[in-house]
Amino acid sequence: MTRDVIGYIIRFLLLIVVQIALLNNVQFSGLLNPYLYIYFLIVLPVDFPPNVGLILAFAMGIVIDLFSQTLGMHTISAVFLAYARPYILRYMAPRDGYEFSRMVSVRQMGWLWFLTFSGLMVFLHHFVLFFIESFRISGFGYTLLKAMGSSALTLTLIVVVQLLFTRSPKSGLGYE
Amino acid sequence: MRNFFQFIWNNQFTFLFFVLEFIGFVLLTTNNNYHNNSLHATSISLSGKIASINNAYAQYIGLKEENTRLLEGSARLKEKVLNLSSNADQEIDRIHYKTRTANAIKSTYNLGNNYIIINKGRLAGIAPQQGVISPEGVVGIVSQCSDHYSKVIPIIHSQSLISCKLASSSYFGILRWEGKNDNFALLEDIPNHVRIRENDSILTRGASGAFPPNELIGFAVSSEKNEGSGFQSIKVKLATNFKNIDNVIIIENENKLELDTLLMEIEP
Repeated sequence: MTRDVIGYIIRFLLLIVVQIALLNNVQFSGLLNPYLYIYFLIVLPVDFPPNVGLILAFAMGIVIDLFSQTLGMHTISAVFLAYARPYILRYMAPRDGYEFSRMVSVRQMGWLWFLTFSGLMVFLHHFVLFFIESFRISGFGYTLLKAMGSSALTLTLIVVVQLLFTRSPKSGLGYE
Repeated sequence: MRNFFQFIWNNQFTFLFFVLEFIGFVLLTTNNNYHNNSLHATSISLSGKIASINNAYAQYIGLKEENTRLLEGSARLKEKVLNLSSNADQEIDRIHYKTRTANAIKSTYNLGNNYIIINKGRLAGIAPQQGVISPEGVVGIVSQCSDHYSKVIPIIHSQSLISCKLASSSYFGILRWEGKNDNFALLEDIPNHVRIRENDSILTRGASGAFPPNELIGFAVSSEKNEGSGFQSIKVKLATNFKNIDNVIIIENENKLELDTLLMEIEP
């Protein structure tokens, strides 16, 4: 349990640092902005308490906002994502239900399920984010295009992180 | 009443969601008005510190390019000085402008609402509503300051409105940004009958007092006439390159308060 919590804290801080110091400075063109920090919210265990998830999303959003001068935008979209997560999980549940205390990862869930789930989550978050950002500017199509382009990039990064960092369940990180 | 609390307890997840989203929206809306608030000042100085570390390295790498741009900028200034001596009495009204230099330590150009953080703040005399220009052209307007850093709202921000005029005909309009390409903005409210020459300079009008008149903003590219409203909108190629903005000049208009007071009396 304590090891779980420490693992979460490390991942939380690491993703924030990567987002602020690295990814916020990645500016391919106006269309592609990766927001990898939501990886934290995506890979929480299936039975993670939803209320805690909401509060963590709020904390994460507000920290990202403070450092990227976009007060409110990331907070709103991250909290929205955390709210939608249990519903998406329920919708995507396997026929015989989830195994108890499963992490969301490629290894545990398989490629197809993981990509569908992350893709849906990432797009939802990016769409809300860019929609709020462009609130006053017309051009819904452009927002949609931006959300799709950036989602593809974020999803690629998520897959890379999955391949690099997820270990087999018996490696002792206490996720199993 | 008991039932009410029971209801909230039963739906605590949704309820918590609404509370947190509400806080988010409050943050979003307070962020968008142009006033100082303490949370924002903290946020600016925090991200300012991080950005200045990042920037120290990038600045060293870009020294050569920056030198060239400075040289170009000083050449333009020299040209102005030469013009100044020839018609000195006409330009005497520019004396109440005070300039300060600063460096942009963080800037974005790919968002819908971009911003620039510069490494001088309240202690150096920077205040909100002061104009910011680069050696190439107009950058934007200072929106918030902490003690050592300030946030600039550049032309490429959805709320940026700058009063401009055409160099050739002195017709004026409002420059706004569409939110897509950081190289172009739209100059609106120019009557249809005005002929636009390609590459005509677009200059500041000095209407709000943030900028002196006749600072370069960009060049006309094309114009689109709107028969319905009788006004055309002109596509403007911005003179400033927001992708590698570094050295900036902040302009303080010592008469701005006077001008604002007068404007308030006219249109309260």
